[in-house]
Amino acid sequence: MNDIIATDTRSNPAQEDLVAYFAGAIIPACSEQRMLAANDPSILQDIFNTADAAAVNGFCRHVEMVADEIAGCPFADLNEAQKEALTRRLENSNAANVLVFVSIVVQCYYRDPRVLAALELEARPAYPKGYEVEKSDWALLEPVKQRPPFYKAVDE
Amino acid sequence: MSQQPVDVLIIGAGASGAAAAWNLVDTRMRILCLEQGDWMNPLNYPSTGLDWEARSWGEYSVSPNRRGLVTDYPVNDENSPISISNFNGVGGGTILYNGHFPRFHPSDFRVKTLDGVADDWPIDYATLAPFYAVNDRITGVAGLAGDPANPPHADPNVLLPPLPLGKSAGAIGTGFNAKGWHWWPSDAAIATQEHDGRAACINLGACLSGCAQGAKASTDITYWPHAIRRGVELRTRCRVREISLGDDGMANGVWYYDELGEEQFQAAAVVILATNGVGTPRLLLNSKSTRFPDGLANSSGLVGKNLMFHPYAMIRGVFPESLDGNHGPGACIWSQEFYETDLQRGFVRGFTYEMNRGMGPAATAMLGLAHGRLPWGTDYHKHYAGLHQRITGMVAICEDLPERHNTVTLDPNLVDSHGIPAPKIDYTLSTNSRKMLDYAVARASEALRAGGATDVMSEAPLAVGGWHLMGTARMGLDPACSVVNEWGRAHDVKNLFVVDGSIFVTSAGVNPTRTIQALALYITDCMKKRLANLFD
Repeated sequence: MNDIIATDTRSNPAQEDLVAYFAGAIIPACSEQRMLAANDPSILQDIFNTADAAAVNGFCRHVEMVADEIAGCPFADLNEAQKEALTRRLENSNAANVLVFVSIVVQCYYRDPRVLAALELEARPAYPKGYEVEKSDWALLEPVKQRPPFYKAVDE
Repeated sequence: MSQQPVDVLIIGAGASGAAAAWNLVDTRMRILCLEQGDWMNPLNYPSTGLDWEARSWGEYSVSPNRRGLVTDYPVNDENSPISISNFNGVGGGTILYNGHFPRFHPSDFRVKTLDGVADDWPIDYATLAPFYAVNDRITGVAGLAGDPANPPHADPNVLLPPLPLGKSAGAIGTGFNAKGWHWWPSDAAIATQEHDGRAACINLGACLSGCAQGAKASTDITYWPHAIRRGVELRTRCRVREISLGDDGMANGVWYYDELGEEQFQAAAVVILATNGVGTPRLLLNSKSTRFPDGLANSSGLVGKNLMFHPYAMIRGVFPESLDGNHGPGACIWSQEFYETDLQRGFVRGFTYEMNRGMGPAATAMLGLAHGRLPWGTDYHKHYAGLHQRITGMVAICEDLPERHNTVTLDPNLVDSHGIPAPKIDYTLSTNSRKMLDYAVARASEALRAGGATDVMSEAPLAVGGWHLMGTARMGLDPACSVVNEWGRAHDVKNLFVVDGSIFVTSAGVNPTRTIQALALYITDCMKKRLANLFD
């Protein structure tokens, strides 16, 4: 269940397919490490809830532009090898539309409780319980304590 | 809401405005502070939710352009390799600062004498020392006495216990020990035990997006409660457009927009600017008159000139073992091994290393992706595992020298939500700063590897690192070469004072907040001592 009603939908089905493809292409599932893919339905919904229309449209426009450069056709018509080539192009791109999209995917992925649990992180807000930090080994500081003052003295 | 004239009008409720208001309260004058932002609610800070990293990059971003809140004003910083960071609200930049809290060194006030560059300050370290001490008492400063790189604290008994080293600072300290280089627990504006009604730090690890615990000393919870209890009035959502000048050449008040967007005039006998090194020149340049056609108090032509940042180098090491992740305050230890000039390094002046502990899972991924350590696709998780909670490092805070061509001016097109011209930044990184950044990256990389790091990533200058805004209304004895005198009063307007970072003559190689606040206390102390002849 999500809190978006149908009339709020800011992307069309083709854009949704494209976003799902690339979320999974950036962060795929890994059974060995028990990690979800970023196009897991719940994470994908978070991505759509988080990304504003400009971000989705900008990314999709950029992908279609690159698809056109690679194969002269829309992304949906690319074969697997062409999609892979396009993915590598995006991975090495500094285009703002791509960087924004990647940032949204990453933000949404690493706040999913299942992802945090798989990383052995507590799936809870930091506040109010806080965290423990290992006790300090102040013996490390002994060599520095032996140094005489070395800040520059100034006649005032 | 009263519009009755006030004795003292302070513009800005951040680090310096809060200290100034608090220090003037015992004069029993009527004091009013106008702040364009809101009071903060710590329960809204990002660390209260799982989405804390996303929110810290959005509505709690250090960039006013990215936040884009109604309380923010836009900044055109396209012609600068370093973008502006600030926060507009009660507490100002201290809401989002790291709490890293070093002092200037005595040499920082004498760079012309010592190194033949820039200018000496008209005041010295000894002048500010007692005000550092007062500020430390109000703020609550964690630290450890005995640092050989710094003058002794005026009152080491007020120090709270130092922040924990944890695994991260332990790894870095090991590296610096191997190189024989200085490091020391940072002075930090973070309560490590209960202080002045504030709870102790519980290692939330999100200092840079507001401290929900109230352990970090933002001035909304340090100076302001005391000042307000003693009678200072603080009005929020009040954006000052310009300072008004009377026929006698004195400031007679300000024009501002209130929370409803209504234009108001507030009369005042004294006006104090506390709006940082970008906001202050913006306001002065927007306050044109027949007497000051180029901006108020600008007969020297230096309002908005000599903008200084601290160019930052960010250096992160990847270690083979798990460290602290984002747990614990970022501030932990510093090194000032390379603080003073050594010409064999190829540049003048120096820098402080501020160690920053670790980062959260999303920031880890973004760093890895940006530096080519995380491939998209099949191998993503394998490489991520090698970074997860294994990164720590530091930033180098490099002293920036004043150059007239680095400026804050008024953008001819960009305006804020009230139609007030917005600031434009023109800034060029100097050759000296470039050399210093490169040197800092090289030495930090050596130390990290000596501590066990197997990989090092760096960025210099840090593009988002325009936290420290200084020099644009500089202090000096000569009215032809400075905007304010040696106690913060405008040379041109005898009831106009500036207490923020814009009065810095040089930047030193340390975070400036502690010195900004000491200066605000010093200047307001000078005002109190001269009340009978303040305008002579």
